[in-house]
Amino acid sequence: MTSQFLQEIIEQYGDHIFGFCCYLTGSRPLAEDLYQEVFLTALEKKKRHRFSEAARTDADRRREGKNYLIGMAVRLWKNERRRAAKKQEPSIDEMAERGVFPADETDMEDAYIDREKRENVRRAISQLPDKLRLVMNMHYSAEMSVAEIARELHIPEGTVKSRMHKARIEIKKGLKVMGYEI
Amino acid sequence: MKYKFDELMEDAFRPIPAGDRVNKRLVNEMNGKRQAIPLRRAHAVKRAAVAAAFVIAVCGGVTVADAATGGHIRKALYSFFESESYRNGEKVNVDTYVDDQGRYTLEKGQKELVNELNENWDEGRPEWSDDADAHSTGFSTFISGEDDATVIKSSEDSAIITFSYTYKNGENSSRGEYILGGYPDRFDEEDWEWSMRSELVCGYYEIADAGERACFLSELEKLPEKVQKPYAKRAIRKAIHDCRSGDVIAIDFYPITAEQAGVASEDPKDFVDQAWFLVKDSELKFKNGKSEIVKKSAAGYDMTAKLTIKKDAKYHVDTMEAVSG
Repeated sequence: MTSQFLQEIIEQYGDHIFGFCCYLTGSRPLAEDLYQEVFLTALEKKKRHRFSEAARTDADRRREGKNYLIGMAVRLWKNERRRAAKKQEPSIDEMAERGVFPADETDMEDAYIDREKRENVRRAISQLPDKLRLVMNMHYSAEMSVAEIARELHIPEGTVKSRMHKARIEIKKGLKVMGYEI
Repeated sequence: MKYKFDELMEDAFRPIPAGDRVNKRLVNEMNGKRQAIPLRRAHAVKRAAVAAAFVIAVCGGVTVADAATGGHIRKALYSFFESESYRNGEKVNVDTYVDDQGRYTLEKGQKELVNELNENWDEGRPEWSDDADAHSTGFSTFISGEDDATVIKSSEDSAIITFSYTYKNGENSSRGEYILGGYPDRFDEEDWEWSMRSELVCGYYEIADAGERACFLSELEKLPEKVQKPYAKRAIRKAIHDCRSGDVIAIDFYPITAEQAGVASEDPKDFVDQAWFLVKDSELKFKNGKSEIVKKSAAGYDMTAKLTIKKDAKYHVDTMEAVSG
């Protein structure tokens, strides 16, 4: 991928990719590292990325490029974790404390309620097994479809669907315990 | 109240901006623009930022400038964290040292740089000595004027000062490197101060073995009171303990908060350590307007130097040589 193309992706999807990295790593500094590493690795890849036939327009190609980078982020992060002998996952509270998540800018009271709700949801998500959490992260923060997730993770679409289904059930269960009605 | 599942998820997983700093660096690097600290190194540098105070304690300061005489590096300047003011957390004694004969073979503007540093830094020149006793704190430096090479090279839009050292303790040794620089694209008046703050002083420290870790830990105990805030101490300990032989402990002087550093702290908004400020301030403490002086002083120079630190009864630097020019 060329620098120019990657810059276009940064412009259009940078926040999504960085958000994905934040949710994946649970740490803003680590997310920054991963985010940058992903782009640099993509740039250095000698083998030219082959877009699917469905990617006919520039916008399609950017979206595919974004998905490719998300897949690469997952792989790089897995390698990193293996290398670091699987560091302990940070809790959602730790992540919030570390300032991983963006600050609220709305009305104070609303912001407080929203934040509490958001943190509860994130807490429920954090209880998921890695595999389930990953597909949810890819789907919601990176805005990837089931087919796109399957492609990047090299797993069947059915597997993605079933993981997402399980994740939904678990999250709903968790939220119900916290008193939320879904 | 009933919530829609997808809305909750989208809210929980909403996009997070990487921020201009991150994106700008990334784009620069992708475009092949030289970075003061290459991203990948910066990654390493970031990881153990907390070891900064520790290294300061061990190595005794930050090199600020250097001068070449007849192609030789004669002496270098040092800031020492040796004074009471440092121990009180006020400022770092930073100064320049030029050839003891007062001679210069500096390129155009370089003399000006050194003079300017001399004039504008708060403290006077340190008393250079190879006698460790001259420095009551034990962090004494002496740089011999061996070796050749030009230390300073010019560049139109950047200022980078780098030096590396080897720290020896008995059989063990470690290597470290400081990089002082700014991003070329940030050398404009408004951005400069920011650039200096966040990027000017970085370094990493390579741990040789467990014995050395133990040595470092004992050094930790000698850190100034302010540095020994419990959380900072924990963080430094952790950084040292977590590393394995051959690992690089990175030192970062980013003015980041404890929470950003992922460091446990009673106040997550507090900066990780006073040492952060000490070092940062050492670059920003110019009397007559921080950014103005920094910019003026630094513009147009690259500098790379290498020095060795040995430990005997006291710490001192015994050689210094240029590694690029």
